Amino acid sequence: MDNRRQTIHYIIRALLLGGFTYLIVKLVQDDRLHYYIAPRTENYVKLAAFGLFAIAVFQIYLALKSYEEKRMNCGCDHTPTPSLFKNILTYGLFVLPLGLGFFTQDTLLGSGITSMKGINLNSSTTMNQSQPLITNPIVDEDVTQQPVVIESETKESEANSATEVTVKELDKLFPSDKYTKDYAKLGMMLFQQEQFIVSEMGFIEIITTMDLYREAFIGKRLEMSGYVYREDDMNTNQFVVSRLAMNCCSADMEPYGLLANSPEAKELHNDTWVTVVATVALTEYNGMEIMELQVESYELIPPSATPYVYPDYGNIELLLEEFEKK
Amino acid sequence: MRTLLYRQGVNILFFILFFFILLFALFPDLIVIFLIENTPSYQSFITFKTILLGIVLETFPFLMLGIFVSSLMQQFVSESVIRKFTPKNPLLGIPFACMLGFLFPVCECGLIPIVKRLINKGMPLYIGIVFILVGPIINPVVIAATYTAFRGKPELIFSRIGLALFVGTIIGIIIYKFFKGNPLKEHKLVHDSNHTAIHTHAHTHIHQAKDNNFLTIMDHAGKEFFDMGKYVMIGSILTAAIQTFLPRGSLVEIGQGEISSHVFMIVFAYILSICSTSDAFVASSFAGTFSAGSIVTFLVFGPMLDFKSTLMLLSVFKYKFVLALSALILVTVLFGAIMLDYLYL
Repeated sequence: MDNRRQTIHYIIRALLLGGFTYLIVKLVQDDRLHYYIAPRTENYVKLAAFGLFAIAVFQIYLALKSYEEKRMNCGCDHTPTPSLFKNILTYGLFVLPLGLGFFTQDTLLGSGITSMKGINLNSSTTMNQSQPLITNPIVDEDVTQQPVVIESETKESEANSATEVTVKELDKLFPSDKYTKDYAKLGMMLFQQEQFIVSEMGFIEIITTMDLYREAFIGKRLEMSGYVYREDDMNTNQFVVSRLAMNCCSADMEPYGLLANSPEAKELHNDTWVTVVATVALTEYNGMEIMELQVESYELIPPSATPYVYPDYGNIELLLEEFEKK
Repeated sequence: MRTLLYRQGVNILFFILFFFILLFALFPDLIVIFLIENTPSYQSFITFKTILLGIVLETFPFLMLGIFVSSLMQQFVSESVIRKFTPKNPLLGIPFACMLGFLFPVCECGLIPIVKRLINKGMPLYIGIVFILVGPIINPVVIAATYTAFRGKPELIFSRIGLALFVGTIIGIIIYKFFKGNPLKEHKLVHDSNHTAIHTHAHTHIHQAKDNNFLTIMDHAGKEFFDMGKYVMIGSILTAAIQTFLPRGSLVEIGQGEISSHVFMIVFAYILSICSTSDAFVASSFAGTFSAGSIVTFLVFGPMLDFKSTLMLLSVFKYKFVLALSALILVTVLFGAIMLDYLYL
């Protein structure tokens, strides 16, 4: 009697473990694992699938063994309770995620969770501001005092001073300390482009750089894609071009985005995916100064195949190299 | 008679609930009848399901690691080894536990079965507890994650590590001084793999034969998975529900005072039950609205004590001990964080 029950437990457990293994396999095959897990954690989950499978296989072996032997006891403290109620409750807990995983569709998250968590429009708050920013770039005084020696040399020195001015200007626009110098570099690189794209790669870092050096980016044109979201207290022309950032799994998702302003905003319902081309301006929202995109044009797009963005793990330098390649 | 009816009634009720869950799981179209697309309830369902699955899947690697290490230790690491390596003196014991925490980057879900196994094998209680408290915070993976989230605010990173070590040391000393008994729930003797003593009841011992070691490990692993796993599931369901149904904005307004912000963060960290590798990321979204000290509270209290880990602790330790430990953690973290606010941040 005792080991019939044990056998049943082993079989149920084997099925549940096998179920979880198959769930992970199915998600990987359908390329839907990234709906739930960030890329950097994916490999660990795949490894875990092996572990689950191994245990499942042995549960079946143990089920057969327990069926044959008279009594089985490993002398440890793991005997399952005899109560049917508790067992249904316990195994039901495991069946729930399995059922949800297999029998409901994998869906992208969007404005639903964004309204619960609140959108982050001020991503530079994780940094200490290094220096007060200036609004007008000042030409460096050294340049005007450079002695003019010969014609050709003058031309050369003028050419040199032209680049020097730009570099010094940039340094004034993007002051930094040892913690923000990578963001400053990124900012300078974006600034020097006529129109830059807020790409999926490095999304959070780009937004943070822009927020850190807001004033420098006034008037810059950019292109950005994301889903539409709006808070209740925004006016009819305002919406946010948002993205959900994931760190290791769907539980720690944080919405990031930039406020946008367009007379046609009414046409854009929440969760619509758009690409906007806009220029940067500043505005005040909820008592904080943030950027606002003056939308010049927008285009409806299908949801991105990689809709979630991920933090860059400390290597802005690598990010900068990637950008420079393009 | 009445109690019998009552018990049957509860069973039947549960069967009905389970039946509906299964029904909707097998025929998801039926849900559409109840939840029309694009209404808040449909959105909530999707959000809940996605978060739940995300947590569960993400926990698996850590669970696997924890139960395999625990089962391997059960088989291969004898009590004498534990006794040899563990320092007797608490002055050495506490740093030893911190070092263990640094070396083993395991989430709480994996850590608790391991520590239970260690304590059963003779590791002193206070070292095991310090390991549980400090391990999830000062390991390289979590430190790297904290650095990524708060790159521009290194003082938060140092505060997190510092406060964790401080709390761990204080609680370690208190437990060493005041907790003499064994607070483990199940007090049965756990046999070493080399144990060949004669048993008083006749039965076939699977792990007496050496070549059955592997089988025993897998057997133990399976049992640990379901023992620990059920608490992981409960915690995940609750975390997913809270994230889905509790709007953060309304909470933020509550906790803006000097002390209330710390308390808010403690409560928030407790019910959110986020893994310590991700909580820095979540905390970074609060950087603009909360004081640095309260963020450190969130970052230190959460990995030490949250709803999920409380459940797991209750499965391993006696109720009174868990209560006492929780109170100790609460008081020490609160005190330490407020001091940090005044002195350093």
